[in-house]
Amino acid sequence: MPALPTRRTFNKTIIALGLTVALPVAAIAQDPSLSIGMSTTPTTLDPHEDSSSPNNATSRHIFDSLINRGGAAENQPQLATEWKVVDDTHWEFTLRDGVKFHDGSDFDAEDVIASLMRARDKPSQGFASYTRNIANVTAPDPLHVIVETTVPDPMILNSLSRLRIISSDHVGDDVQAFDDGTAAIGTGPFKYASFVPGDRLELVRNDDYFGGAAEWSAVTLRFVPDNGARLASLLSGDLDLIETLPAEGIDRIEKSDNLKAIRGQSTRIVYLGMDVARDESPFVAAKDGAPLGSNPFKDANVRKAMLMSMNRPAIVDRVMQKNGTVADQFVAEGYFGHSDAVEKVAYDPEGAKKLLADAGYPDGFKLTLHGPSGRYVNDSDVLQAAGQMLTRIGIDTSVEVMPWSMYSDKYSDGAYSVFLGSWGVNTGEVSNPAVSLIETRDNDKGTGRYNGGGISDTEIDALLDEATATLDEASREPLLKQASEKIFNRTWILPIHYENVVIGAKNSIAFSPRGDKYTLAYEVKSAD
Amino acid sequence: MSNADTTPIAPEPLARQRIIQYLSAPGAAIGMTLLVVIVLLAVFAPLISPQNPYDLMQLDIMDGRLPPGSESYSGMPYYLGTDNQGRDILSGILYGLRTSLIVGVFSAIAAALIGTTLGLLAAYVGGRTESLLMRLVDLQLSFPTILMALMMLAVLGKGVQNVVIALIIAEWATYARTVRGTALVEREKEYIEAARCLRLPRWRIVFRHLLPNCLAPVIVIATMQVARAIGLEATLSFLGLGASVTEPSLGMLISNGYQYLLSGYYWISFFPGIALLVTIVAINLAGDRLRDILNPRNI
Repeated sequence: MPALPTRRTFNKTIIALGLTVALPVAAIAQDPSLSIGMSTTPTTLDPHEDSSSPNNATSRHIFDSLINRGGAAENQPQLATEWKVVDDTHWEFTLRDGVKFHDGSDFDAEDVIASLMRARDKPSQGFASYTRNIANVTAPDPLHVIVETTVPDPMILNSLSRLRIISSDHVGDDVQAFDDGTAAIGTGPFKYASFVPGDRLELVRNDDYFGGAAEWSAVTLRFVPDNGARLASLLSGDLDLIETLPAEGIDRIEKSDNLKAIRGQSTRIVYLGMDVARDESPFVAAKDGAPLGSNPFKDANVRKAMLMSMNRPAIVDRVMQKNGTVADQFVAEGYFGHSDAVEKVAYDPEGAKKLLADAGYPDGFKLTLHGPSGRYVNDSDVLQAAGQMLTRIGIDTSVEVMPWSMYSDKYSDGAYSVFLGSWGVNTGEVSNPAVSLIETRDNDKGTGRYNGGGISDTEIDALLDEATATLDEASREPLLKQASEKIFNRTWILPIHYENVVIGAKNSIAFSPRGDKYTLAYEVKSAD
Repeated sequence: MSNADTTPIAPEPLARQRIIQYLSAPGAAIGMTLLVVIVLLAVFAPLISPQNPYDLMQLDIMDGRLPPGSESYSGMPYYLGTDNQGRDILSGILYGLRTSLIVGVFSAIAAALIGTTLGLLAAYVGGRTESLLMRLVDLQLSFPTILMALMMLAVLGKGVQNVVIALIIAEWATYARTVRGTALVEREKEYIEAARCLRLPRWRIVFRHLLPNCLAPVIVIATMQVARAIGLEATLSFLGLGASVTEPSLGMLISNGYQYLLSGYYWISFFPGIALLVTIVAINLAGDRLRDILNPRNI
């Protein structure tokens, strides 16, 4: 007969279990650990296999890059301490001296060359958009590398910040070797302990990290895509911090005594695009349903009036439940290409009516807004709110929303008159959204891919073309600032808000959310 | 012996007898009363509702998610609160009932017409026509109704009229199957034989003799289908495939409030849910009694 636990042995087990639980708790006092609930699941620890936010955020714990991206997408020295432009297609990087990999081996130029070439030549081509301009990488000595690009590429620092440096000993290893830990050896702030795909990654502190040891001796990244489960784990105390606090949980967290919601601005902007190309726009009509005979959105005053009609602080406050920040241009203050000369248009329905009348539409017109449902935070509600506000200045608005799969191709191809769009500005600078959303559509040049309004402004095109071929940051920034000013002072699109990053955490945790929404344990501190 | 006992009672007209018989069950009386009230509310919604919830001009997101009993800044009371767009829930329910009833009644009637005709045809003509029609019915009935409706809406696109069409396509088979069954029995009866002997034209036999005797089950199914269609429309709207977002039906109102349930804004889903429940229960109560009365075994 199998030995069934009697009550006495059972009680003993409980006591023993209690002890094993209690002991580490006592130990935590000196040696704090951290559990993070990620809202997305990384597919692998191989940092060159597939470029997606969860993969890149996870690999960032173990590996470093030449360049670090700060929370506001700024380029900071990491494994490279300084860099300079040699000529249009050559960049020289000075490497940090004395850095060691987790296995104790020294970091040098050989590892950089091996890593960048591995990322570029990997069959998956997951990082192609970052490696496509890299022609060659050479090393004059162990602490310097020269990166040669095929064309002048001002975004090369951004690209290099995505490419993690692995040890050259493991350059031939496959995905499996990274996932089981044998090849997951970087220079980063944490060392691999164990990885269960789809469930968790356990990490321990790298005490010799060149940037200073992390505050946490052990870190667990739990992958919990289910909103309810992630929230429940935070409420029960299993997790110290969770990404993307679900909207329905915000009230509960804020009412709780030991939990808090941390908000930060992301680089995702939500905007309304308008058909400015056709002579008659398909979803516009006079109030009696007859054709309008003109396309009102070609008139900058009508576009400005629409922006003035929108009470964007109210949208952020009521519809987004404060999980957004009013936007006036592609990037917020502090980001590359932000211009203070962009006019901040205030809510002014009376002024909007007057502007509309002056533009030749005293009676307004009828309009259908189009947008996706479930793609962006509260997208259909934002669109309805915009509809209410446009209706108040005399533009009779109806709203049509559809699933993203039906919407995405049509809006970027210009099927609608006024449409809800959004762009995650991952590079943290203006050229990335402007080239895709504003520059004249040109499939050979690769510009205007998502220019659904058919915008074609030669002055802006010229500025963007010059900016994307200018290496020197000091001369590139004024070009992008001018582009920002022209785009938004001419109201080519109607900016609404930046989505916020909302993180739920224990009160004992301090963290300022990053624009790219990565949650990096190294940047999480304990609040004193 | 009193006079009263011997005085012959004037026979009540048949219709009135039937109505009295119908209302003699308390459930049916309650159901019918509720149904009449609901229909009146829906018909006169534009006159009695405090706000036109479909007019974006009258909504203000600053009034969003106000609890029941709050007032708008213009002083209008929101008896049942507002949804996230500042839409008065009471007005939303009254207008939503219109959509629900229109969808329910139209789709049930149209499906009944189509289904009955095809069912009679199958029963009376027989042969290949019958096999073809009945296999089509089998095919249709093997799909879950909601899946069928979802597929239709994916093809047709959104909108109230498309919901009606989708529901007709999803529901006609039930009628066809039932009517065929009844008609097969009736067709063998003597009165049909008599009609045939008179060499009456076929259409006349089918529509003047066969059809009236198959109608009882059709009427019963139709009542139940109205309730079913209202429920289905609410489901489709809840899934985001029903009416336009600015003209919410009951299902969409419920789905608007769904994401706020945990945050304590219960009223956005709760009151439209109650309205939907009462409507469906009322129709079912009324329909049940109809089924009892029209059941041939009871006549």
